[in-house]
Amino acid sequence: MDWLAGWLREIIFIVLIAVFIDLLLPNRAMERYVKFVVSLLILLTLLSPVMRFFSADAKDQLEAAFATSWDGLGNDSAGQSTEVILQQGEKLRQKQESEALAWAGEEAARQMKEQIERSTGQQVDRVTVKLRTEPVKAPTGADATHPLAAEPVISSVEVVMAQAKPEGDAAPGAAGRGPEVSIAPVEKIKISVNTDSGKAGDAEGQNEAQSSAVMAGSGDEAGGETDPEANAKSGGKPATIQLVVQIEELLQQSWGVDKEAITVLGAVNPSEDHAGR
Amino acid sequence: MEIIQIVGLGLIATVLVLVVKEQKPMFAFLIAASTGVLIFLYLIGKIGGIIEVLEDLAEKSGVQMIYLKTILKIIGIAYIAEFGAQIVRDAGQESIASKIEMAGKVLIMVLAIPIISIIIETVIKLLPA
Repeated sequence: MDWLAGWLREIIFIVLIAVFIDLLLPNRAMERYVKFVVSLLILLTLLSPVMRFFSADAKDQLEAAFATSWDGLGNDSAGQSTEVILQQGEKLRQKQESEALAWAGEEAARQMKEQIERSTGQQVDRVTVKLRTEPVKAPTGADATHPLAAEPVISSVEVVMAQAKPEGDAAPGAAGRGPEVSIAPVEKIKISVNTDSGKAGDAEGQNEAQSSAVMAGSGDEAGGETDPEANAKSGGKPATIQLVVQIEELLQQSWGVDKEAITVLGAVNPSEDHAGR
Repeated sequence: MEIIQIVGLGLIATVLVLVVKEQKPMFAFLIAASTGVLIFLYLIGKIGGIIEVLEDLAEKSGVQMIYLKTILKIIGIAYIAEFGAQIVRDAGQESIASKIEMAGKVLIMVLAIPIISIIIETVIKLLPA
């Protein structure tokens, strides 16, 4: 409905202007011509929704047409300096770059979401990926051969899990443990991931295999803060921690994202502590 | 009060022209032309105010500025062509005056060309090929 209001407003205003300049005109001789042009403008305004429907770049086209006709008249600011043109080119380039970045971010987020859902079996609400361009540094080694002056780098990843509500309700109450049924298969998959990689996930894998009581002694940096809670809840929270760790590892391995840059939201509190470390 | 000033200026100029015309027709024409220029310059400020208001309104109502620019260009062309044509006509050159008017009309039509082309393109796209 917003476009309708804008359209009507535009029509009303253009008709008002038309009447106004009809009064302003100096004599009758010009009247027919001016009326013709103004009525064309009104027609254009009336057609504008149709034009927008048929060609998205109608506005640019119109502006280009006007610009050329004014150049032909010679009363436009014809002498545009090279500097101005270069500035416009730079602006266009930046715009294009940011659009490409946004698109790449969306695509990466979509793939990450699919990946996480496939490997964890958990529903992911949404994944937000923020990209930024970084000038290529010399010590990047193998990647230094890039022809680009700047390459996109994933600056932060935010994963929002869909089952935030039931888990959050279930953990403090310790009565309705419905959601944990769906978490159970995660342990299995998790272990298989550990056998594959066995690098960063080794310590975590031990934690999950033996229950939360052992976790205090394993001395890994993630478990240290949340151990008391984990002990108290007897395995309720480690599942979510494990999920977070799994997601982080997954993203780190397949996307090369720094663990610091990954935020997993929507799980219970320990996950946030974990992500913020 | 401004209208009185303008009318007064016009009356004085007319009397002067009538007086001078017998001796020096050339000066009579100069007086008439300069009076016209003076009145025109006096009005330019007022027209500027009107145009500012129009631009303000256009910005608020979201009309494309390119439409307003086109309309303003049309008014400008019409005024200037009319002004020049009248001065020339005062000098007794009716044929040159009509040429000036014709030039004004042609320039106004040139402004219409991009609009026409866009409309025709849209219509062609609307119709199935």
